[in-house]
Amino acid sequence: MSLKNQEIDGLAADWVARRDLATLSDAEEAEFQAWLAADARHLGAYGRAEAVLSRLERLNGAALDSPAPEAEEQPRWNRRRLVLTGGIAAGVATGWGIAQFLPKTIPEQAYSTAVGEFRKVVLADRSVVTLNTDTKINVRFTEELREIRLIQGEAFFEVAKNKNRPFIVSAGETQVRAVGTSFTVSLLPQKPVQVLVKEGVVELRRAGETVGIPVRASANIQAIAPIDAPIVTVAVPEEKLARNLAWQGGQIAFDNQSLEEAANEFARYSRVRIVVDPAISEKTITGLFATKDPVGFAKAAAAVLKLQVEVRESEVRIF
Amino acid sequence: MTLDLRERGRWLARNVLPHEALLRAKLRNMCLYDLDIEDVIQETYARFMTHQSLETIRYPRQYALLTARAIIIDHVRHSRVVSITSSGNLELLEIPAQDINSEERIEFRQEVETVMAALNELPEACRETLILRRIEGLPQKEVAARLKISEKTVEKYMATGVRLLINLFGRGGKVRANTSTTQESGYSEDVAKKPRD
Repeated sequence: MSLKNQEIDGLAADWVARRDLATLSDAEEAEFQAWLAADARHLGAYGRAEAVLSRLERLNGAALDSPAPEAEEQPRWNRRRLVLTGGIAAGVATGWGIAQFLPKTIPEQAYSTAVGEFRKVVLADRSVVTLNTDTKINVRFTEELREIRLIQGEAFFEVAKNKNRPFIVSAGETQVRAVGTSFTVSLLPQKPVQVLVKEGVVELRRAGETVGIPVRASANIQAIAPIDAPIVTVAVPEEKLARNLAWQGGQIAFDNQSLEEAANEFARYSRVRIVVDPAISEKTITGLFATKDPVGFAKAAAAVLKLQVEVRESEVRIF
Repeated sequence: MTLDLRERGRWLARNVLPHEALLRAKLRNMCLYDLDIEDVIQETYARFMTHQSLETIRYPRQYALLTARAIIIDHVRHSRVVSITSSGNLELLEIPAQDINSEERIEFRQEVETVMAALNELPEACRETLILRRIEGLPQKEVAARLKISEKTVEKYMATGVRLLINLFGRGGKVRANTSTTQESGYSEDVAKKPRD
């Protein structure tokens, strides 16, 4: 519950208590009405607070006014019983922490995900790699270097700090060098390598290029590395960054993307194809969806855009 | 505003409040994006507070779910943001026709147990105050005299009790976790922090 809502509930509780105990003066009543009118949520919060107070009367009122047949053993209100059972409720046991033993030096390791799959891998240095759908990486750690090769797909790296042992991700011809930071690298068919930095700074350069100044990208910067053009960087607003990282929660985020683009994006995650009627493929959609649920997406999009959906075995059609 | 707030509160207590935890659970499963679940719930209550004739609502639980659904759709249409992500999306808020009546009626015993359990979770002073005032029906003055506290304190305990009960009822009785987090806030963040070198 957001703080704001909790504050509203607190104020609603205050008003309910005041109104229950005494008749408000005209000035107080005016103040109360002004509060109710100030925000659409206040009336709802107040109604609930009234309901909470009324619900307590179930403990005596029920015995008086409801000869309910299902209440075969109507417990008369008994305060002692209440107090006696009071201390019994158990605390919540929380189990945190996954202790994972990892050796200091490991040979090259490969990690991959299938279509629609996600995977979080803790590396030997305690860096964490999250693999998006249909992704392959190789990891090779030496005394001096932490080397990752992104063979295909997309991965998010949370790099453990170690100045003496740079963390380098290669994707195609692009190398991304980090010290302690978090960023994603994607290598998708028919698209340039893209790097999105969430925290810290990374440096990009072409593989084999040892001279020249690397391109630096800091937090909220996206670097795009086309095969035959210079690396460019663009600023990414916070919301867009969050959208681009939504896949880590098994979600896919769109901001005014066409249905066509959305269908292509879903194709990365599921074998169920979304087929968009060409007549409406330019209609745009915004929102957050479950990557594994193209049908749910299609239905939600249809509900908003007032379109039709037809679900078949291996595809869902929007028209 | 001409509506009788207390009467409506009583109706909500019987017909909506017992289902709030279910509603919240369903909304949570939908993973609403840029739309606060608590806002949706407060607005659902607000719509009941302004409803023309509550007594005509035959299936309040169903009605509450459909109201929440309508609120979400309104929001979606208005902002053109689709906020539904889970596998079931909006259908989560629909109840199959044959089930409409099944859990609608709240069993009396279950209701008594729920209320007692929630009262048990309150600090003693709040509990005593609420019991004397709303179950035994004593006036403020007498509640104050019995508990040897000021009338102002009666009001304070009552408001605190209501505030805690809003959380307890709304989350379906799994109450310890909620009341204790207010005192032990920050606990989970500390534990969840990753070790860094």
